[in-house]
Amino acid sequence: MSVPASLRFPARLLLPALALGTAAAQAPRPPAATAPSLPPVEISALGDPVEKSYRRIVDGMDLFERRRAQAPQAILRFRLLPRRADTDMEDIELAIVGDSVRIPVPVAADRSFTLPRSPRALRENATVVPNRRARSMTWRVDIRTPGLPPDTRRLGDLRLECAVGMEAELVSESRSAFDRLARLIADRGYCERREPRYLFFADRPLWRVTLVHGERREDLSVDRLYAGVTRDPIGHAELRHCDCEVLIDRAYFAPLGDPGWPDDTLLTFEYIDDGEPPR
Amino acid sequence: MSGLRCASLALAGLLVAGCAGRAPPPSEPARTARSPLPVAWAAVTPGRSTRADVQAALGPAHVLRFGSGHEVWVYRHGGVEPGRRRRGDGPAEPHELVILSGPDGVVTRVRTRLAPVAAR
Repeated sequence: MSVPASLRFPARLLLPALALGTAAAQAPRPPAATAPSLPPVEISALGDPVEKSYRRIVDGMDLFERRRAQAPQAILRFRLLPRRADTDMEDIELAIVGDSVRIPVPVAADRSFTLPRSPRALRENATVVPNRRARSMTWRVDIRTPGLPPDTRRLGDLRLECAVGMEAELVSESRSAFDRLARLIADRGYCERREPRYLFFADRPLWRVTLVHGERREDLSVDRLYAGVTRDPIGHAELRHCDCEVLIDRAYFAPLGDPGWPDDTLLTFEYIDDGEPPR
Repeated sequence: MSGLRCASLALAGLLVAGCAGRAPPPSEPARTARSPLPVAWAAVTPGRSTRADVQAALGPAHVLRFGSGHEVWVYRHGGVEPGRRRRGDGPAEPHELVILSGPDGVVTRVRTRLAPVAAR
């Protein structure tokens, strides 16, 4: 579906995960005693918390089930990500909260979680809420086929992550209502475009990402790493709306819309700190 | 030769100190008739070359500076500028030289990427 001319924006304003130039690229570490993490209070009592629509996330879960064929062995989870360098990512409490329902959601040691299905929560238009303030953290779709080699992702899993992420609205913020409308129009088929700028995040700061399918190997261009900042610099204002805000060094784009790379293509990762002693 | 974009943004932990302009053209032909890469690129040696050495040999780069103290320097050769049309059979994308240096300013890793043949 093409965007009407009257609603066309510069590409970056439509991007679900903006390539925003620069950011605090170092993976955030929990600071010491002065960490501004919040006490484990009732989530409903937390002012201005991170909130996401439970209904939209369930829509994404439904889409995952409909498109199982693209990643037949994969498991759908969601993964927490920091949005600020000083965000404490330890001991996060998460819950589905409605008018009369509150369902705690366990978070695994790798900061991932699954969401149960609750008709009651859907009826109450519940939200998914952690005990962290708005814009301090977020979560993204995480779809992984088990049994892959270490430091490897499967392209079909990533394609499905994009589709589910867009459906669940687990993407970077839109800066205005007009942007949200434009995204709504542009969303259909977005992940199938030649160069969708849906950001993925590696586990550690990246050095190289290589596509592998059979005997064919090809490194991703550096312009597809680091949120594309070597090609499209980011301004401060845009960076604040990007899930990559403190994860630029781990962010990358994958060739989701390139039919020359099948779903079983593997992306192999090399990291900046490979070979370095642990800190 | 493709130009290099300049960006001068500094945010907490990461500085993209973009290039001052286009990278200088190679002063010598490729090492072999089949190599499309500038000979000068081969002079960068992990464990020995410093950032100053690289800049002296290759000119200004597109720089990403991470909060860890690591820096990624990017040089490009060939290809076309974004928004322009490819001429003849040349690659649309430029070839890339990517250099990683540690907090001590010494190059630790180098990689090149030959632009794939466009299958259009």
